[in-house]
Amino acid sequence: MEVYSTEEEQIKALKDWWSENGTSIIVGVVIGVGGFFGYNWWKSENIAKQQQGSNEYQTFTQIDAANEQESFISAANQIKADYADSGYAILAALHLAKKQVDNNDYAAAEKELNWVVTQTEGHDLQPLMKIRLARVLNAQQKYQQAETLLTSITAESYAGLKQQVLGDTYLLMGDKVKARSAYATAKESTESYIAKNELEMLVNDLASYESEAVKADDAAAPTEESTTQQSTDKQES
Amino acid sequence: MMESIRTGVQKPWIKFLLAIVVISFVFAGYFTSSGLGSDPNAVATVNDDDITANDLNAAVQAEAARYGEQFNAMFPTDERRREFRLSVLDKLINSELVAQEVKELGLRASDSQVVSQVQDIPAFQVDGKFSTAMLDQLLVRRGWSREEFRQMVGDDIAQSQFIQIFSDTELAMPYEVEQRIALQQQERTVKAFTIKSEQFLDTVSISDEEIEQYYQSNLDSYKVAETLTVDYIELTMDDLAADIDVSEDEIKQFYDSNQDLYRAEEERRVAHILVNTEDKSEDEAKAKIDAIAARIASGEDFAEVAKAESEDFSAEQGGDLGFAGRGVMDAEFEKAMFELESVGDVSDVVESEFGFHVIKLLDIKDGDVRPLAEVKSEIETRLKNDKAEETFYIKKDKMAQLAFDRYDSLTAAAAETELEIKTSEPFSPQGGQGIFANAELIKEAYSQDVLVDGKNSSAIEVSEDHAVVLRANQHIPARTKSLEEVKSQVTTALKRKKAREAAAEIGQSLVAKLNDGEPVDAKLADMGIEWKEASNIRRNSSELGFDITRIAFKAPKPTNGVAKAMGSELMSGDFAVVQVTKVNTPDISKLSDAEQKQAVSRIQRSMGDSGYSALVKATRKDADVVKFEERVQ
Repeated sequence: MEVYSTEEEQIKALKDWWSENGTSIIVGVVIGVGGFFGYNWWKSENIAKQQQGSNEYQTFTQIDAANEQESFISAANQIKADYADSGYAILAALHLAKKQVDNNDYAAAEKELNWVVTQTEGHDLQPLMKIRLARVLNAQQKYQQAETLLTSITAESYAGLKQQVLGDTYLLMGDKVKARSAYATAKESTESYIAKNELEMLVNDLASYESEAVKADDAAAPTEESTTQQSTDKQES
Repeated sequence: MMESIRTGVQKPWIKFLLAIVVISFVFAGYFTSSGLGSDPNAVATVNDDDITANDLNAAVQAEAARYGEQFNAMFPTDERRREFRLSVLDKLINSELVAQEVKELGLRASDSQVVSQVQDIPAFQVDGKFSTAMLDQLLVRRGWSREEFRQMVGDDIAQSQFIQIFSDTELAMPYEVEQRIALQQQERTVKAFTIKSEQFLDTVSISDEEIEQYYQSNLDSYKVAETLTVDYIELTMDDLAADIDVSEDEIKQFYDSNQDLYRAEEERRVAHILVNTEDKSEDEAKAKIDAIAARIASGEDFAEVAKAESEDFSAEQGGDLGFAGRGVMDAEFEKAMFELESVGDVSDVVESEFGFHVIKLLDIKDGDVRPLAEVKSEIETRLKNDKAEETFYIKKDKMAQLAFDRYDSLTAAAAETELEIKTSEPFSPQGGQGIFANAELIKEAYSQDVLVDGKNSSAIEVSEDHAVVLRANQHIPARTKSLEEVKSQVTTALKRKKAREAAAEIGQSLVAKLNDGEPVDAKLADMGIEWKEASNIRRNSSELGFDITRIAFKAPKPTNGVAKAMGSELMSGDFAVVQVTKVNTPDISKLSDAEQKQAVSRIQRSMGDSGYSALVKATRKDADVVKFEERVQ
């Protein structure tokens, strides 16, 4: 660095430096300070909006959906419009979808859930919403669509649920071999005790439809101890 | 290096960058105070949010309380207790993840929702009305500020909204209901027989090599833990109290000189108006409360003013706090409320830690002195305990001192404290019965001093009124029983195993024959076995027994009218062969509404349950979770 010998030189250097850089520093400070307060303002606005959404959502959930159907639907749509990017819109849409399923209006429920799937893009909830949508597709015999939608789910955490609904799809299509294998995979992946019980029932009920590939695997497995499970497999193979 | 920065400074975008850096220093204090960087007390961080040791302790305590007295039995060692703590930590991490998910979705309870939620909590109600005093009691006990409590309740509300994704809005499609009911209520007609394994017990042959081999491969089952028998003396306050006599005079004297203790506490019902100092300056608050006090003094209705102006939960009830005794309210507040002379009086402005108040006395419940007869036994116990406590500490010190000075025997300590030397049952390091389950005691008993050096233990406080000194009597190290010792046990186990195998072998061959269409009845008759049959049984039927029914519902259905046989070992070791000859699917339309509803809610629960745990798993996978396991004791 340069060495400034006298005080004057130093002051001059500082002045030069300031005339060269002063503007950008001031601009920087203004942007920084402005940004800071702007962010805080935005944050408190945001909080207020969320709380307002919460109030409206509560009012909405207190509507008797069975007897005041019209106000139920219009309140849900209002929340969807006013708080489109918030969880309250998603919740409202899910309530709507349920109401439409109860009314056997599956086309409307499908539309609603499609909206939710788009809305939850990139979010950990999306696979769950796709699975819910697939169930509504199943109810309309749109099995191919349901299968495509379900197989598009790659999140490992949802494997159990996905395979369970996929099993339903195959069973409804009449493919019992595929159904059994999907249920069996689901049973292995699920952590929910209730679901495991149910899946065990589904797998057992399709006992005669074990796929050839699975049978071959089981036959190769060692069976020296005659536990219940293994003797079952031995018999079936 | 310097050169490149200096030339760099000439470029405008570098200047801009430098300015930003300067600003970031200006606000550095603000940002660090809002929690960048991790707390040294954190036991885990979840996406930069800390879980502190305090959070974990509170959660561990709450979880342990659910096990109650079984806790020590279930988690006997330090190792197991650590595992337990780590499992609680995992739960905490998951709930933190859910909390963050709730935030990300922008779910946030409003202030009015928080207030009405708090007012509806039964624990805060007296005679069905919300009482701020009860709330304050809880806050004081837990050491929470009002703001913290508000926050917690708010989080709770937002979370319950989030949960509706998996509960209230969960679907049960008609095809699912139909399928599940059809399965649940399916009926099967079943033929089955059982081959008892017992009959082969005497005919199976067993060689010595087989016994040796079985023993070697099951060594773990023949391990015996180390045990220790101890001699001990124990001093308990209860024993001491039982030996103490208290005279009538002493009781009377205590009663007379401690009347205050037997006076039912005076309680006062007050209403107040609060101006808090949380969100405004002291001067502003003072000005506001003075104005309010002036309005009251000029005759305005206290309750109306409270409703309009008070910044407390109690505002809606006209400031009414309900009855409270001493030791409940803030000290200054309490002083003022008990200084008010008669019902209807209003205090001057009072300052408490919450802000400024004016207080109005609404009612007084006087305390009466209870008669001697009623409190006599209470006083007797108290006096006995007081005396026993004194003796207890004297004797305990003596016991500890003598046990230490005369470390090679308990005799001296026992004689001096008039205690009897007892001998325990053997107990392992996992603990035994009664006081020998106490972790502190076990640690001492298995310590170097006691176990190896043969000294007396120190005076162990099993509880605060129960002390024990012990010394080792007999120590039996851990070992594996020799084959000689367990030979009959091994032989029996091996025979059972072979008998099971024999039954299974015959069973499997019969299954094969049945499935090939060959007759088996002659063979069955030879063995004295009969088919059992049951028509249209359901999953929960007991007609054929629980385990055969279970197999029957796992077995294949008949194909083209031909039943398929299936064999399976039962829990008893017997072997069952099962054939399903007919399957009936119930007529769904004949189901009652209640049955339909039950099936619907079952599916909703199952799907919701799976969905929730899948979501937690998914967020955990995407999250940045760091566990400081070394900070978990």
